[in-house]
Amino acid sequence: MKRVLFSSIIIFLIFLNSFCFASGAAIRADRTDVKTNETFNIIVSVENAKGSVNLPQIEGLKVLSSSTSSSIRIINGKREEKIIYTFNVLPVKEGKIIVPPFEIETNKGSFKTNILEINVSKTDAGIPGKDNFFARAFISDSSPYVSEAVEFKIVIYSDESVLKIGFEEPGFKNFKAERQDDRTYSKIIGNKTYTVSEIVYSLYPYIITNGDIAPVRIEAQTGRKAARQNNPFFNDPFFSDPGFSTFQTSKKIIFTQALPYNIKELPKNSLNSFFSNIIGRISASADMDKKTISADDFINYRIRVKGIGNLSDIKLPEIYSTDDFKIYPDNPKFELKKSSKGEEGEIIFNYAVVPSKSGTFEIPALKFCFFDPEKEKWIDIEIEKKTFLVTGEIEKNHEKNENMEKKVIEKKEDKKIKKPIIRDDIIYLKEQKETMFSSVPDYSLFLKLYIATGFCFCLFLMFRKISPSVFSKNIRTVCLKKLGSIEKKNSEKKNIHELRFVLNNYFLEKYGETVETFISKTDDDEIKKYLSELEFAEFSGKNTDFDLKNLVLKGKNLIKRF
Amino acid sequence: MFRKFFYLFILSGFILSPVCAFADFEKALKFYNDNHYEKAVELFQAEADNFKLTGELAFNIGNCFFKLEKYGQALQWYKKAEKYLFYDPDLKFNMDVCNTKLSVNDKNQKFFTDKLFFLRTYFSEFFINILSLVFFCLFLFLILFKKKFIIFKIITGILSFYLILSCINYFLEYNIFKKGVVITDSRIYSAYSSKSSILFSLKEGSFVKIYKCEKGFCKILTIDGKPGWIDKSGLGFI
Repeated sequence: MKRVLFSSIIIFLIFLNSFCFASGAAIRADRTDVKTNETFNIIVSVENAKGSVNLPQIEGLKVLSSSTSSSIRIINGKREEKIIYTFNVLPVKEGKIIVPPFEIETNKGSFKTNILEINVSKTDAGIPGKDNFFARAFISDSSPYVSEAVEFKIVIYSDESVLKIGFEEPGFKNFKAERQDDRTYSKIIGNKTYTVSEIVYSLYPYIITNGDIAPVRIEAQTGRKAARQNNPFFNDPFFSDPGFSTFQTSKKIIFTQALPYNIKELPKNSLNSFFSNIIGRISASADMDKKTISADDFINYRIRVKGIGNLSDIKLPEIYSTDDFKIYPDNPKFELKKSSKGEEGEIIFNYAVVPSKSGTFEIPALKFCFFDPEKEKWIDIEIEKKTFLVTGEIEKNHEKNENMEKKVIEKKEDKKIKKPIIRDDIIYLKEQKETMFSSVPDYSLFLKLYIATGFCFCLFLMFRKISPSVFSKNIRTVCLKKLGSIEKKNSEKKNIHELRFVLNNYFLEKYGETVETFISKTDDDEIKKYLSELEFAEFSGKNTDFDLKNLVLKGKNLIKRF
Repeated sequence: MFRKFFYLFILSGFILSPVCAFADFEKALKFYNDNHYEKAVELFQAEADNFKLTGELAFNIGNCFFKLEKYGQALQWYKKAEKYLFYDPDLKFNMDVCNTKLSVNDKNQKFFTDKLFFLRTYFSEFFINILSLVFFCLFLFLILFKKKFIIFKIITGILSFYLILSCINYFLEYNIFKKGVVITDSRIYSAYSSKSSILFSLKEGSFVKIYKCEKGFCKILTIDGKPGWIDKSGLGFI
């Protein structure tokens, strides 16, 4: 009977033990009432098992990211392990969303979680004329061509109860974004006066794709007068002074709507001319400051490009020098202002044309193309050729170049334009094939050398039993600090041991001798007396029969003295 | 007797091989002087392939391409030479001339890593490697001394760390973070095919980072951070 009872107790304990370590999985969401475009977390926790979570297809939810964390708890010798899988999800449709069971495959079998219900309501971007704070987002063209400038605008309406507004700078994936100057004005909507803040970005798409510009999170701190206490004392008109009013502040978060976009690729370019990188609308013209020059003079040739679009990306075809004249380009001058369709204005390309001989010459015609997104077609621009006459004799090349350089520089200085430096030839070859350290380094050799150096260093440390040090603290400061901490302790024998250990350590580090050996060499009776006091406290006296503070103080003085 | 001839043959091989190489270099100089720049380039390049590439050879090849009015390729070789030569006024001058020809502003042609690890502008890569090794050894030596030379330890520690980082960056530029120069005016595509849409154009002499090459095209990133694919024939590796 006893044996049966004993066995059943054992079986019960084993069962209990296995029950304590039971594996299981649970699912929960940090919020079950959410709004579209507002992310939340689905948390799956697995207890006492290791495994992987199979993510089911969830209609209406988009998983943005996932993370895993684990924790181990040991209570009364029992080990509990918990792995938490967190999925950051974005609801994409309104209504009730049912999250199906997650299947978790572990080393102890597979588990299924329960079903989760999420209620998704429409994004609250605020109601005009009713709410004290609402916002809208706009994009000027939701299907732009690649590189075509579009305007993205966040308009925030706030009434006088809004104290502070902050927003998360939107991350424009697939766009190059430039923030423009903010605009602020007032507007009356439904008998309410709103302060309207417009935050404007110029966007330049650079990848052919489609997607959404994510909702922008806007946070506002609103304040209202707190209800006065029902104390008749405060009903006195004296307390209606603004200085006595109390404000209750609250925080409100809203999201703008997500804006879908579709970046289109440029249609096939049937024109064979040079692509100027411009997606917009441009026109171009060219002029020169004089048509007849003497041989020692030069011409300023200017190409003006006017228009709208991504103008700062402009590239013009090269104008090459010929045997008759040389062309020296200057940095282009940009006179642009930002607009909703990109940059608008004029770019001036300056060239200095320096003749090499006398005669009638022409600067060749230039042809380049751009893409007009409004007309949706490629357009060619042709700058007509320009003819000029060079009269007089040409000086010798070297002298001429020098004179010309001077002239160009002088003239440019007058106009405060950057000087073109006329350099036509290069320095001659290197006649030596190789000099010291001028070859390509052999990185494998250097790597071997590093490894060898490190290895030798470690071997040296091992054999010499040295520990390397970069920052060595002063031993005196370290010991005084230790004594300081002993000083705060009670008068107990173990603390006297510690005090002695610190003193010995100090004298060994500094003089290579123990405190007794060092002091025995001195003739100072006071120090010898201190040492005997220390010995008495350590070995002969009772547990608390000494003044620890006094002994530590004397110890400190001893360290400071030597 | 046969053994003697054999040894003589081996010995002559050793003696003559550098002489032949030297003769090629001399020939290339001659061709350059006679304005046969294409032949000079061929010989200089053969010299670099057979012997080893040096700063001087890269400089000379750059000069030949300049004379052939292939300014993009000239800039590519000058950039190579800059890596292997100490600060060289000749090279600086030639690069400036080349940049003027290409209407390129050299100051805007630098990536962040080039600005951070700027030592290569003044010293050769080989020398920086030696310097980093020397400072590393010096640092290891100094840390053996306790409580002494703390300032020197800190200075050598920082310097050796910076130099080693520079060397790692230079090494990675040969293998992973390759750089290049656009050697002809090129169109940049959205994918590795000339049938894909054109994103923008790049002028000859533009400096780019190269990520990978596939099917005759290379994925690049421009200085102003625009990605795209370029025809490999229009790109020169530095």
